Amino acid sequence: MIRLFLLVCLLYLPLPALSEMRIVSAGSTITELIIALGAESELVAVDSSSEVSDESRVSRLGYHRQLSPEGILSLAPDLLIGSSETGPAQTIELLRSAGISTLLMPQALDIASLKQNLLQLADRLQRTEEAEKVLHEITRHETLLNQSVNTPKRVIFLLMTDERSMQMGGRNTLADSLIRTAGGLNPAASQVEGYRPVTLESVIQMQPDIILVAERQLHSEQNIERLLQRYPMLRNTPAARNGQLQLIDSTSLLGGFGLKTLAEALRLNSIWYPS
Amino acid sequence: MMQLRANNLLLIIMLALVLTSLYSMLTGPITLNWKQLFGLTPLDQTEALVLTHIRLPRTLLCLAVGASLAISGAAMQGLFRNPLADPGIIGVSSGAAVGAAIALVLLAPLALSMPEWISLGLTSFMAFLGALAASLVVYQLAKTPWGTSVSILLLAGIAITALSMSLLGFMNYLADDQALRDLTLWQMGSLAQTNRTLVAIVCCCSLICALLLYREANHLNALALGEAEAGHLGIDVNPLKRRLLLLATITVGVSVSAVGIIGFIGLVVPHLVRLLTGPDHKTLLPLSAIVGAWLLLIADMLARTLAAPAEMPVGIITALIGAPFFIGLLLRQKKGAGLI
Repeated sequence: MIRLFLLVCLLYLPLPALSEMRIVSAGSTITELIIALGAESELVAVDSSSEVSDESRVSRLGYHRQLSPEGILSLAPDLLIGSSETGPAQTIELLRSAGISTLLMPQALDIASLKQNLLQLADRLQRTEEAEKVLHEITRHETLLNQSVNTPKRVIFLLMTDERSMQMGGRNTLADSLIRTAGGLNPAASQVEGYRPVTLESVIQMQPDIILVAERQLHSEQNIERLLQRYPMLRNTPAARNGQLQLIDSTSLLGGFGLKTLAEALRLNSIWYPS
Repeated sequence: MMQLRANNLLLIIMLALVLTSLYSMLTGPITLNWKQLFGLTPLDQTEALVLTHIRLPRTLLCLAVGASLAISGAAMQGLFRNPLADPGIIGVSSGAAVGAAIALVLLAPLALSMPEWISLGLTSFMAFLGALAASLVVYQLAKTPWGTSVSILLLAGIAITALSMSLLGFMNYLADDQALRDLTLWQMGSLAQTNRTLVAIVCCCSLICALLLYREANHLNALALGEAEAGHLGIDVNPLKRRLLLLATITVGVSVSAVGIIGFIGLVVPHLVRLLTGPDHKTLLPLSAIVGAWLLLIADMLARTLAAPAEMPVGIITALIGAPFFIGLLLRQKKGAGLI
């Protein structure tokens, strides 16, 4: 009887907790990687853009570039993981002087840097085995994406900020990375840098085969027709003529090239180049 | 409405301010108690760091900025003889915003190659330059051979604010999305400043300027009669106006460059004090400073606890608690005057 009781006690003993770290993650793609490495249980807080499976278990820190030093200290973490965007610098400095280790990785803009970040993170979290699996999966997707395409489609990304204006994703944007990774050609990349307001004229001039629009702004496929009604000029593009206005998951464009961006690239690639 | 004896009120509010300041040292995501504050129970390393590197500079900054904004608001209302004047009326805040925008949008990429002590203070420094430049232009526009005209000063302030806003819009246009977000947050104001040098500069500046402004209290009283009348009382009006403008520019410029734009305090606190004690600048100026410091302290305590472990911009809170309070006071005053 006593043995049984002790056995039951053992079952409830939080053994893994002994080796577990308390991690604060500031950045949606970083949180994504931590979860992929199977370390979600070690997260104590994430920034406002991160997605976690159990909302009640982790605290929210707000915007990842305006972290409050005291808020983080109050959670008594061992490790803060963020990107080069994480800040402000004074907060980071203060946390370091309070004895909290920090791991700040460059923000990934392509698959290669995503892999680098993954390895660095796995090394730090001592999860190299899990990293192998994730890495294998990424490489498998990469080979799928790299299958040669004879004529790349011309693809642009439009960001509708309000009722009046639209912005286009130029070079050095995640939208451009997504288009390139998915095997498309972004004509806007040679003309603008960052997200810039554009005239409808230049959209027509670019003659895109496909126009990507963030799902958050259109909500559903039915609204594509409404978009065309609002901007009838768009009908003069090959994309609209062939019904190639496509919705993309806007969260895949947040905070650096992540696993979600890769998945989205894979999905778009299979739509653009069937077979 | 009964007007309290100014001295009693001063005492009560001073006491409230001291208690609130101490309480502010204890408030935040990490809980501390009174004994720890006075060193009766030992602090661990984290708690000591929080107290000396976060709470103390923050509380001091709150007091300095709140007092600066309110006292220069009171002085500007006196100078313009207009209760709608706020410290930003001479273009200081909007000029600072343009300066900060230039730093955040255009200079931020260069900041990486600068030494750390420059890059950390760059936004504040540029904001201060912007504030100075804007108010200097306003002053030059209003200057005539016969002295500065208050009404032209007012109009020039509005024009320069409009110009600054368009420059700010242009910076918004140039900004990438990160700079854009920084800019928005900067404009909402936050006291989460842990740069101790900056805190020291703000505290010194506001203390000196507040004392200098207080010395002008009698002159401001005379000015309330009208410029000509003040002149007849033997006051050299034009140098007085210059001094007031300069002091307000420095106090507000320094505050705004350190913490961003915090609305409401400068406009409403002097009003509130006037409702309580009457329009004498001898009591209005010091009481405004104290009430301003007190109000900002309370707002900041809310800002750091409401969304913990995240933080809210304090400007949102000053407006949220301040505006309804002010409307309530106005209604009471209206009732008291038999208008309802």
